[in-house]
Parts: sequence; structure tokens; C-alpha cells
Amino acid sequence: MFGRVCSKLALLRTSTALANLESAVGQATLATPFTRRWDGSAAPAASSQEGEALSSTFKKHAPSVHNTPSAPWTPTDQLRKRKHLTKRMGHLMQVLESEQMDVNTRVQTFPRFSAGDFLEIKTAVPENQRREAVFKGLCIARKWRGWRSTFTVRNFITGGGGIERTFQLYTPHILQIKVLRSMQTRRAKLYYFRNRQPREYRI
Amino acid sequence: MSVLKQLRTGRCCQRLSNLLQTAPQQSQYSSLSPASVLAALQARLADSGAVPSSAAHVPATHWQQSPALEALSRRGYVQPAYAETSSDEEDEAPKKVAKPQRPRRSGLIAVKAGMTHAWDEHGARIPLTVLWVDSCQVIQAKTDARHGYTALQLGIGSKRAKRMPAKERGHFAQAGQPLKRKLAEFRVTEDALLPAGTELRADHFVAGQYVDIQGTTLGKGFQGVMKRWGFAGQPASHGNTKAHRKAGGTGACQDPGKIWKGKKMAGQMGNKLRTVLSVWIYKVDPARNLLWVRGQVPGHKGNFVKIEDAVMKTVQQQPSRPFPTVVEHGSQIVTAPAPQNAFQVPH
Repeated sequence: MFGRVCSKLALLRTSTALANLESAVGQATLATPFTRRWDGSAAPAASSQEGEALSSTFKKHAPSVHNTPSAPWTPTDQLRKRKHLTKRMGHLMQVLESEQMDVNTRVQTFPRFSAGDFLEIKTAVPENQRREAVFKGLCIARKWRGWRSTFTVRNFITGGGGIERTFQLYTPHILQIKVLRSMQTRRAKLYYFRNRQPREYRI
Repeated sequence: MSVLKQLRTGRCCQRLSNLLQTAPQQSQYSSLSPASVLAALQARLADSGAVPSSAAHVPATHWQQSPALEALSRRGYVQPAYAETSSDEEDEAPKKVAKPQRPRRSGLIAVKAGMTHAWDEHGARIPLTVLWVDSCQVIQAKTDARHGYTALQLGIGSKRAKRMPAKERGHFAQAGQPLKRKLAEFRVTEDALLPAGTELRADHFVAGQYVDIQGTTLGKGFQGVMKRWGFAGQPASHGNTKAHRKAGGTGACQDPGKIWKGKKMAGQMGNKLRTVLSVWIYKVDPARNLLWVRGQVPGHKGNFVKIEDAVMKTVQQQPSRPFPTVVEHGSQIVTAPAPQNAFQVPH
């Protein structure tokens, strides 16, 4: 259930994230990890607006029912109805992670892509003075877990063999994702390509 | 005495004292004196209308006396002969003086919320555990005179009166504090005692400092020696008969003719109180009472954990921390500064 809710939120972000959020939160800036851009320049330091902006995230994602639940960090003695701590803490983690995603999508925008799309991913390699490296391949899996979302890309290198790489979606090392072309798929996960000829998924 | 106990009590050898670099009492903490902080907290409690409890008996000048000598005199210990005889001047200092104790402030109780992660400025991924301080308040102050030791009893959470035995309700009623779900004591020095009702929030700890976190580990039930102690087991085939995951031998022969106590065997694994030492605090949110710490914390989500200043870190390795606690609470989320280069991991 959480996965589907987060997937819808993720779609909203990837399509119209920057415009919506910029209007909603104003001139919000980040504390981590984007205070230094990938090219070495420094972003402005975090302002006091971060506190107000983060609390607005909770209000934005609160369900639209009559008896809206209070924020998950409300002290227990102020709650009228108390659910089990494990449930409340799970809700707290969900809210905190969606806040973190909102902070990241102010600088990170990705095109809408799914399993079956041929992607070109530009990464900044930290071990090589953050030089740009390109990884191409077919996206065979997309895992929708909110802040922990990942996607897996498969390619075939002549003389090397098949190679698969799984990326964390919100990692600061990813600079750009470009969709080259798409193939028609009838599945969400294309693991069957591991047993297929490389010419079918090589790019 | 173990090294940890020596460090905690301050009764340590010269080498450890040098390691601690026991400076004058308030040097490593904020420049405010404990007296002024205590006065500010008591004034705030009086303004808020909190009922002062009879149990929290904290004399105003307790930190001017030597707690060790006071304890000894209370137990009837007679001072050595050379301190009593042949002393013409009355203001001559006694030759046996108790060593000054390292100031030790209270900790916090928090709830383990779950794990997440973040990336720092260099792009290194930091695994994080979120801890929530659910209105942690001082219930009772334990003093040397009345209880024989100096500690603060803190309470966290909330519990319905209906679900609480009468004895527990009476304890909170006598203290004049609201009903709490979990109580824990923190040994402190006398200059760190706080009045009952003081709320300790997340900014009691500073982003970038190290803490020890104590909690009850996940229970694994009755486990065999391979999982519990990491024994290698025996081969799966080649004639092995019914002995694939057993311990094998348990001792010598006729001498000693017994199994030593403490022999590693199968048994209960987990569901024990364990402490993770020197955990780095990544982020502190004072407004919502949240702490982000690096790495794992024992126990389930919803578990109560005790957090204290790290015992294995020297004063120079820790940033400046408020002593005995914060008086004016901020509202800014504070993140610890990233290390100098991408490959230096703070541990």
C-alpha cells in the first residue's frame, strides 16, 4: 500500500516537480547533500525557511478527511487517539522520507521512464574527481519505494559480457537521465532478458 | 574495576586521568555556570505553574561540597588520624582530598523510529537511524544524602491511568509529574542535577557529537551454536552422521573432567540489553524532537533506547555541549559538518 502511494507521488514529482515545488515553497535551499554542485561550485547555505518548508510538506501530503490526524511527532500526551508506537513511527518515517524527496526534487529532475526504455545515464564518479561517466542500457526494472527507489539498467559490452547496474534514484551522483527509445513491454520487470540474446537489449 | 566503570565514576588511574584531561569543571561545556542554568530552569518551572515535588530535594550549594567526603561521613567513616592531629591552623586543607569527578550530565530516553539514509556533501552515503524524544521529563532527582547516589530519573511517553498499577500512579503523583510509559535513571554528578519537571529535548545533544545508545536487541529465540557463536559446524557429507551444526567437543579429558563455566553453547539469542558505543549524531531537529544518528541502534521500531554522552571519547574529541542542559531551545535543524575529504568517515 505504501509502495503504490509513493509511486503516485514519485510520478507527480518526475513530471511536474520543479514547477510545483518552486511555487509552493519559494526560495527554499538545501542543507545536504547539494550544497556543492557536481561541477564544484557551492550552492547557497541553508536558510531559515527550511523549517517552515519542511512542515508544509506534511500538510501537503495529509489525507483530506474530516478528522485529519495530527503530525506523527506530536507528543503522545497530546494525542486524543493513540495508535501503537510501531504504526506511528512507521508513519513518521514515511513523512520524513517524503520531505527528503521534496528537498531533492528541487534540484533533481528526471524524465518519466519505465522498464523497457533505453536510457543514457550521466554519472559523476567520485573516485575520479567527479568526472562524467556515461552508462547506457535497457531499463529492466523500476522499484518504487519513495526515498529508496531504484532502477536497474542492463547492457552488453563486447568482450566483457552482460552487465547490470542498479542505481539509487535520488543519489547525487546521477547528473542526467535521457530516454533514447522505448520498446513495447507487457511486464513491469524484464528479468527474462538475462536469458535472451544480447542483440535484443544491447545499445 | 573495568575501564568503562573507571571512566564513568572518575576513579581512574593516572594514565586514564591524563586521557580524560580532567580540566576545571565547566571548561568543556558551555560558559554558563551550573548555578545560573539551574536558577533559570527553576524560574521557568515556577512560571509554568508546575508543582514542586517534595522528592526532588536539591540543595542550592551542593556542588560546593565534596560529594565523596559527604558520602563517607554519612556512612560513619572516620577520617585518618593524621588529618586530625597536630593541625594548628584550622583552615589547613586535609591531606586526603577526594579526586575531582569528571562532570557528567544526564542523557535522554528516545523511541527508535526507523532507518533511512542521506548523502553528505561529498556524495558518501550515510545510513541513519531516526530517534524521537517523546516529551522526556525529569521525574525525580536522586541525591547522595537521601538515596546514597546521585542520579536523575527520566520518564518518556505517556500511559493511560487505567492501564497503570496503583503503585506506579502513586510514584508519579508523589513526584507531581504526568504519567509516563518508560522510566530510566542516569547517573550524574551533583552539579548536573535538574529540578523535577524539566523537559529535556533533542537539542540536549549536539549534531556532530558521539553518544552511547542502549536498547534491548531483537530477540532471535533459542538458537544453535552456529548462529549464536559463529561456530563452523561439520561437513555436510563424506560420512558425517547427524552432526552438521553441532558444537563438537566441549572440553578436555579426565583433567579437568568437567565443562568450564561459560562454555559457548546453544541457548537464548537476542532480547538482551546492549549498548552501541560512540554513535555519531548526524542531525538534530529541536522543534520536532528528532535525532538522526549514524548506523544501527539495538531493538525494534517503537523500542525505547537510552542515549548518553559517549564514554570512550575524550573531551577534545567532542564538540561543546550544554551543561547541565539547554535553557533556551532553538528551532533550526542542525546538521553535523561533513568531514574534510570524501574518504574520511567519522566513526
